[in-house]
Amino acid sequence: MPAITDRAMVEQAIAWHLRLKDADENAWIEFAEWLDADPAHNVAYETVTDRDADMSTVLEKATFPFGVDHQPQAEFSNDDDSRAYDVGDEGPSRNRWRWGALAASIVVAVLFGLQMFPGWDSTYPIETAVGETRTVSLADGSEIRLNGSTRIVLDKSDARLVEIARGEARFTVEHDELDPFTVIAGEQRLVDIGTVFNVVRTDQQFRVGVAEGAVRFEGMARTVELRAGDSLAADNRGRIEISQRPITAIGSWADGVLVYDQAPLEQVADDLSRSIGVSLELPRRMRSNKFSGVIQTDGEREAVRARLEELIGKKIVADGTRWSVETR
Amino acid sequence: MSTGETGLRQLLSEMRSELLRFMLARQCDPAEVEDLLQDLYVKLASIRTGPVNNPRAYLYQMANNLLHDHRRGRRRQQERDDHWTRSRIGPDLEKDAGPSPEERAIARDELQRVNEAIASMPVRTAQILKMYRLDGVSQKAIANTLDLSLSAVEKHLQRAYRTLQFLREELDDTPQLLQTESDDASHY
Repeated sequence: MPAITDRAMVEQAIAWHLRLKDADENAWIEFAEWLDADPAHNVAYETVTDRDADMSTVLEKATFPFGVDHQPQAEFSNDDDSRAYDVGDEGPSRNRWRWGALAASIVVAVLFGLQMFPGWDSTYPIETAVGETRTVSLADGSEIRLNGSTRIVLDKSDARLVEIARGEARFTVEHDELDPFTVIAGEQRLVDIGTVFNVVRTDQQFRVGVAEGAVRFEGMARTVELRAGDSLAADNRGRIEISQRPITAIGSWADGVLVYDQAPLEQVADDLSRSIGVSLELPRRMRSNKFSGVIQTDGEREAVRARLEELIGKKIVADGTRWSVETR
Repeated sequence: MSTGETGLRQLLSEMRSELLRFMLARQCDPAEVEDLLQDLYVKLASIRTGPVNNPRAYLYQMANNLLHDHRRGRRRQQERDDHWTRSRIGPDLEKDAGPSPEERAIARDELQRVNEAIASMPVRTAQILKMYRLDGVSQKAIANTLDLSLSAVEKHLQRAYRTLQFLREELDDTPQLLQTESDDASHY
């Protein structure tokens, strides 16, 4: 392999190698211009790609620091200049302390969650805190958007298999009938038939709504094919209930909108805890009350509270992130 | 724009001159460039693609991959030829399939060096390298997942890749019996 002595050129070649993996047309045109500027550029680029390719085998066996979610060093990470715009935003870390109790219960869930794929070294979890959302892009072009307080387990050896351990996620899946995308939730499975769908898993319930295409639900007792607009709810005992919902309402939390049509108030409380990190305490007799309405979650919490008061016609008292419905 | 396979083939015809320019900028042999474009066309006809987000970028990517494959294929052929020459000259070098003790020792040493290099990186840099290089998570998704800006992710990756590039260079420069011989052979 030719030796490249010009370090600046190597740096540029690395930058191009990284950038081209997900480049738009303009980037390719700029890349061609860079290549044209000096014939040595192409040699540098090819050397970088070859050396990178030659590292693949050994990198597969290499030891990496464990865990993706440990973020203690976020405060002093090296992204100084690029994050200058949000200096002083101490919201997330302060909130983490406040939600310590909630975090503790998450740890318990995590310990149980790990046992779902015993001994599968190729799996790795991705988790969100309450009120936090994340987007995960998979190698096949599929995308998973995680709502708050959600944990999924991905499998490095099979990009088409995802376990949802807890919480809510919206899947936008590249369809491949020879290798269908599968979501596992305990003993239940979803197999995509092409598609955008939303999944919620709580202790008591598993729900799925199909926004686009179709999904096959393989439950403990039966298999059901769901089409766009269908929503299915399965409880712990394998009982299922299918209803129709407006397509725009399915997975709409990702756009900061919660849409309800005759949903139990209990579910609203559950969604709010994931999306904005508040725990809404409901009097027992109100929990199964049916609720209809639209709640915008991407604004201030205070606005959400006021809106909710208006919708349920009761006063809601806020004590930090603990809200309770006043019973009088 | 239609992005099915037919759409892509049509787009390929439209982009023919741009792609030709690109491939020449990539130092493709002018005598081979037409054949390679034809390969690209055949390839598009034979693969199934899902909906493609950015079809023009997709075709550039395909052309670029084809050039890599083409060049690496040639390199491998060269290596096979060298090996054949070598085994004719010294049949005792021809071994059973599977790594020799020497090759295993080299692999062990490589792994140790790579592990040291990773351990020397800031934890965050190593994590981002793993997500990107091994788990196939996009830079954008990493930025979202770790709550970093995209340019911060780029910087971490640039640093990690730089470290691995220089390590690879060192490892390749370490004198090895086989390496030296194949270099000699390629001069014939």
